[in-house]
Amino acid sequence: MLELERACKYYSTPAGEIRAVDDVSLVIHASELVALFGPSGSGKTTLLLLAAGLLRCDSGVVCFEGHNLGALSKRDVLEYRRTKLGFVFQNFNLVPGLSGEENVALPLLLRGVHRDEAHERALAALESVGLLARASHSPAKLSGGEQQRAAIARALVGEPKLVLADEPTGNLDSETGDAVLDLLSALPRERGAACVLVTHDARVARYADRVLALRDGRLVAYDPEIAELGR
Amino acid sequence: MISLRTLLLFYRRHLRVQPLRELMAVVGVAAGVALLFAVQISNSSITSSFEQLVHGVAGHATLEVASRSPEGFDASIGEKIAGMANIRTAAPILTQQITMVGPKGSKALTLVGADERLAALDGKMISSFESYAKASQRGLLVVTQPTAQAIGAVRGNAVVIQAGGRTEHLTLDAIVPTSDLGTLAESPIAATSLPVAQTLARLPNRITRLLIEPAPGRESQVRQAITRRFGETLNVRAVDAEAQLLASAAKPEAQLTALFSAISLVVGMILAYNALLLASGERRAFFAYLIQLGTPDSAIVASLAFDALILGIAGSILGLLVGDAISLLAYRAPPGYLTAAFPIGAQRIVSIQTISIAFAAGVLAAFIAAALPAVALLRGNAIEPELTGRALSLLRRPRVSDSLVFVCGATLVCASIAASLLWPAATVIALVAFAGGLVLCLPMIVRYALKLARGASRHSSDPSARLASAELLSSPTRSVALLATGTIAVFLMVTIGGSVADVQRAVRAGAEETVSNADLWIRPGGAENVYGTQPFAYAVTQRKLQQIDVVRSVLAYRESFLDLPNRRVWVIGVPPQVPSPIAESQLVKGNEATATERLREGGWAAISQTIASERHLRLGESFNLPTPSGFARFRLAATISNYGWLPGTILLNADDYAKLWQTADASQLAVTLRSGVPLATGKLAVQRALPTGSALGVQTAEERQTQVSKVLGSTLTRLNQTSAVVLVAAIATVIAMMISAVWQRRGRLDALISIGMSFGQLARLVFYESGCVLLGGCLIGMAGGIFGQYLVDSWLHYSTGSPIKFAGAWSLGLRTILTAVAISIVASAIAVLRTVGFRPKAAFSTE
Repeated sequence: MLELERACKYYSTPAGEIRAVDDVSLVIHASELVALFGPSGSGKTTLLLLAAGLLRCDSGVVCFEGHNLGALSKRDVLEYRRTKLGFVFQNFNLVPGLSGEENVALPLLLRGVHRDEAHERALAALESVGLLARASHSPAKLSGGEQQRAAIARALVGEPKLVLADEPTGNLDSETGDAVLDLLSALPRERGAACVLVTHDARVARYADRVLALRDGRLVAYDPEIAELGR
Repeated sequence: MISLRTLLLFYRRHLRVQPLRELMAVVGVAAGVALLFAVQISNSSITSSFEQLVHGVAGHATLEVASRSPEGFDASIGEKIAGMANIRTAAPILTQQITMVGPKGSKALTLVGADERLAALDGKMISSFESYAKASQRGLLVVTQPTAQAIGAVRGNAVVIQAGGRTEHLTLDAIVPTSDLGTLAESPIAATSLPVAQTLARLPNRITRLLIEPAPGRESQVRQAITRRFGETLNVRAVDAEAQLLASAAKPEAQLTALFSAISLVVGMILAYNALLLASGERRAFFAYLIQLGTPDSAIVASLAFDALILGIAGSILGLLVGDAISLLAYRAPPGYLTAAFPIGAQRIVSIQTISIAFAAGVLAAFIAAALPAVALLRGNAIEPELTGRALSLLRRPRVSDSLVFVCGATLVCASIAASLLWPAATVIALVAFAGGLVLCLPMIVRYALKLARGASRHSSDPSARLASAELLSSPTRSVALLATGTIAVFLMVTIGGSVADVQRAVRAGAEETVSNADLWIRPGGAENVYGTQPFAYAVTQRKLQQIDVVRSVLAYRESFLDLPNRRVWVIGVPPQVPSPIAESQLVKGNEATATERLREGGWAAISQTIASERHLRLGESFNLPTPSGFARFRLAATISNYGWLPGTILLNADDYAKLWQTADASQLAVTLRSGVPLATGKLAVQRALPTGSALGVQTAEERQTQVSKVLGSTLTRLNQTSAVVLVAAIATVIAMMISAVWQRRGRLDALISIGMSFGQLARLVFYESGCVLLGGCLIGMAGGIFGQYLVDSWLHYSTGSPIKFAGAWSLGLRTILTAVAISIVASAIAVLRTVGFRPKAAFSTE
């Protein structure tokens, strides 16, 4: 479904050129949960941004369902993110003044879905993560785990084909983190969506169908000890 | 006890992490200090420089005997006074308004004619003049270096002197360098010997002043003795009494500029406050970190105080430098209407007191600006509750609710409205209370407005509107700050701009009506002689003019300034033949036809309403006027406004004037042309008919009106400059706030972009958040500004008697708002471009 072929992304800095993603080739299949490990600065975020079409490769290609993201117009890339992708962030990034339901409905409203339909679907998404009772609460009144579940509901509400999760357990205690990982690991099984989890958390490996590791922008063999050290 | 080194370490960290925030805060404080300092310099320079001049001329003299007319009094009276007991020195002088013309231009000056007795008083200016005059061997005409440079005069060469409507030539004998006189060199003064001055003025054996140095401890006795013998026809007063008259004349403008500069300082404080809000999240995290490390309360307070101190010192120093530049570039020239009546130069007097006040105000503003966000930040929810609780126990007092603040604000607004209506003298205080009340009302207004907007946005299909209302409601402090900036900037623009326009309109209307009594006006002096108070012998000129066939009539106006105990008034002697001696716009109380008839009859006068009120005079009642021939009894024919001379005006019959002022001279000639004669033709004919060597100028009514409007229109223009500086500072703040508001939330905004927010939706979000708030603030500011304009108009009318008609400055307000909104759109675009221009990784936190 998502395919990176010899993808490269470089940044120019005063200290010289940094190869954030260096010649990475990778295929993510539908209904697959992939965990991506790597120490800070290894290029994980850049890889996510390339997959989301938020960055373009300097060389190589990133394709989604056969479409080269680099060749798409800005409008098409926006449409790709709106309809095919879901995002989960470490800091949740919920909008503080909106209720849980409104936060979840936001991706639908942004792509022009009528507000009644958007709210109906948002409630369903919240129900699926066990937060229906907290739908009217603002993020400030939710616990960290609840906020992340609301964020997962927001990622799922548009019925994406690929969920990109960036350190989803980074700000949570281990018990809450497990609950969140349970939710994310169920995605491929229950919704048929692929999920890429960028993480330092070695527990994630247990949930993943496949484990990848990045170092200095290159894919390397996964080593659980190094993953722990990286954390 | 936290060490200075640690405080510096903390501050360096803040500076390194948020240099822009610190810079903006410094600029905010500096803007307020600059305006306050510039206005203070300007206001104090007018009176201080005049006081310097008085003492520079009068030296040890403490008393003066002054003539009530420009023609002076007999020098023999001076001799008699000099011979009285307990007088150590009595120095006679003759002052006269002249225009000195050199190769490069001309300059209006006060020519002081004196003899060696004045030098004996040891005034700094006269001593310098005397030493240079002696060195020149001839010692007839001495000027200062700036004057010589302005007109291109060279020592030893002849300059043209226009005095009393005639042209004379004198050799410039000495130029006193600025290094000898300091700021006094800027005074528009020239000196010559007493006989030369008397010859130039055609006032042989006349003097206008006698400066007296009494024997030590005898001043009061001397004053009483002179008053007993000569007080009927001459003013006997302290030597610096004229400086007090100047202060009185400049008071309305000085009070208003001081008021608005104080408001400007508050604006500067808000700007600094806004800047300090910019990085509140980062600061909050830093304080939380300090608290976690176990830093004591006192150390955190000391750190905050140190930050504020550095901000205050840096802002104040920058403000003093900028204020100095503003006072040099924008506020240098004194108001035109004052220079027409007092020999004020363009000198700047910067005293330690002025510097100290501006500096202290800047530091205080910085402390307040820094304290408010700091308190909010330390009490904020973002710090873990247990940490907040431990952090600063002194901040755990109950929070003042928005409702209480609103009630206080609303009470202030209502009280200010009531006070201004019931007690006009308190209008200036009411205006301050109104502005303060308006700002206090804002948090509550914002809260409810945002709640309304939030409710409305729930029914909107536009996600940007929904997001904007939610974001604003979740961070109301920023919204209030932005709203307050817009409110105060527009409030000041509309209040100041509207009032200045109303005043200038009134002045122009007065000028238009005053000069519409004739086709052509003839008078000596240039634009400085705006009130037409320089007398000249006119008999020959009048006779010649009446002989030319284009002229129907030539009427002589007689005008001069007269010093009453607390004000210098403008006395206008109107020829009885003038059809409408009282301009319609200037009539306050009384019937125009009756008043005209009574003025023609003689023994009646129309006086400014402010003077009549001061003396509790009603129409028909009699009052005494000190004239050169003694106290004269007049009856009140009407009350009038002031014809553009703020301290007050007295209108009487020109024949009464001639009799009481014992003069045959005129100060202006009003020429009416025969019907059908083109103005240009008439003007040319009149100019040709003037005697040879005449220094009289001929102007059409329109030219005269333009000139009067230009000079008198300069009244209050400094206020416009003040509001413009505030607006520029406010615009800079708004732009910075909008960009920083986006920058601080770039993580969340990047997240929104990631989940599908388009560029247009993002731009709308930022505009709704900032532009709409700013628009709201501007609209409140405009409404408040219109009321502020009404208050200022009422106060000016009350304090000056000027016929100011309130005309709400809606157009100016709308123009200002459109500018602000346009700027907010540009700022939104810049903010959005900056956001999307960065790598969208702020939402992601793994690297």
